[in-house]
Amino acid sequence: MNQNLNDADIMKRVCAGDFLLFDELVLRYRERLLRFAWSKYGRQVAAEDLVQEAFLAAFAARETYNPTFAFSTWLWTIFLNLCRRHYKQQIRQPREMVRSSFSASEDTVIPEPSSSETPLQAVLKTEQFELLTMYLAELPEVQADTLRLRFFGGMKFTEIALTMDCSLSAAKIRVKNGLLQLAHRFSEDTASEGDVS
Amino acid sequence: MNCDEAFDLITHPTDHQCEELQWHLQLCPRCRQMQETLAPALSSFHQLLDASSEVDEHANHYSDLQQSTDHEELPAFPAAGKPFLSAETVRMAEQAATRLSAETDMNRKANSPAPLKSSHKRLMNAALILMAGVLMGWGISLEVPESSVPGAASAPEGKQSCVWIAQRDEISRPAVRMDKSSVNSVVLSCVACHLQSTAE
Ligand SMILES: [Zn+2]
Repeated sequence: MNQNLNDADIMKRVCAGDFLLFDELVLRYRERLLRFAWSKYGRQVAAEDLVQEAFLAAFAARETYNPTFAFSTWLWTIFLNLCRRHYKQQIRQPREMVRSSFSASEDTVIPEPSSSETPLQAVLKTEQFELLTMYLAELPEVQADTLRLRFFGGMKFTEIALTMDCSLSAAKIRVKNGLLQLAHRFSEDTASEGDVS
Repeated sequence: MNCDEAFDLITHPTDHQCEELQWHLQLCPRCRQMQETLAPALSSFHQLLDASSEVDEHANHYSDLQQSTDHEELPAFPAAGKPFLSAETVRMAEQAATRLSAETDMNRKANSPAPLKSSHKRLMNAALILMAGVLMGWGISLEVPESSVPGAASAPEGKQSCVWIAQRDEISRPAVRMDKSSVNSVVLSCVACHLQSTAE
């Protein structure tokens, strides 16, 4: 039944006190955020933590949500900001993630990769995914993030532009340039494999 | 469909094989070339997405099972009032909401003037593209604030600046490492293509 509600309606009801309904939003976006996070951080705990923190932040700041913009855009904006902050903290000093009392229930939402593996995680463990992740990491961060948002986040270019606070054409150019560089890398790989054989 | 829309579909995570796009690709050699150039990267993304969407159902089933068993002990979200996040993170989320509100308001206002007839709109687009090309190509500065330049940072949806022209600027930036020959061949040909399909 909840599947019929759109994100804005769910947020409206969450704001009215139906907190458990927020779970539906977690179900809708968790996988995409995780794909993004895993492609950026690998299978580190930080990836799961950042996804979790993004949902928590959206939940905590729910009163400021405004249905004039998409919930997904807001969630991704929060998540990207968290990723950037995480990156800066990593550079300054490896620091323990902000953990919350909610993190005790983390396992109910995001299965731990170590304990039991989901089929999605199995796909993300493939050599192909690792190769893609590696090549993405070689790109400038904004370019790689734009590609991740487009493909792993399944976002429209207008949403990417809003999330990354850039123009629509900048979002498209980042995707195109990123793809060109990735394509070049993949082609190099194929060529060198051909040389060996 | 113009080449901009074709690019949206070529890079679409799920609709990249739709009929409309195939039609456009048959008729537009430039976009076809673009797709072929990007193919190694695109296929990697698409294969992974196809594979993970096949298992999504299982994953959802898995997490549903997990939740149904765990829910009895712990709710998925805490009752209101429990401390759970740093104030800084919540503030960041609030600021994001404020920014998105302001930007969607701005876009809405920019989109509100009476819609032009589609033929007029196409001519306008073609003129804007030409003008942008002239300005960028010749490096003329009119000393106009960026926000009032057509196709500048705040360009709303529906008045897209030409990606293929803007690309030339991007290529010239030293930070961007690219295979120039392949980029140029694809991109520059698309400028002409895009002009044609927008003005037709
Ligand atoms: Zn085309």
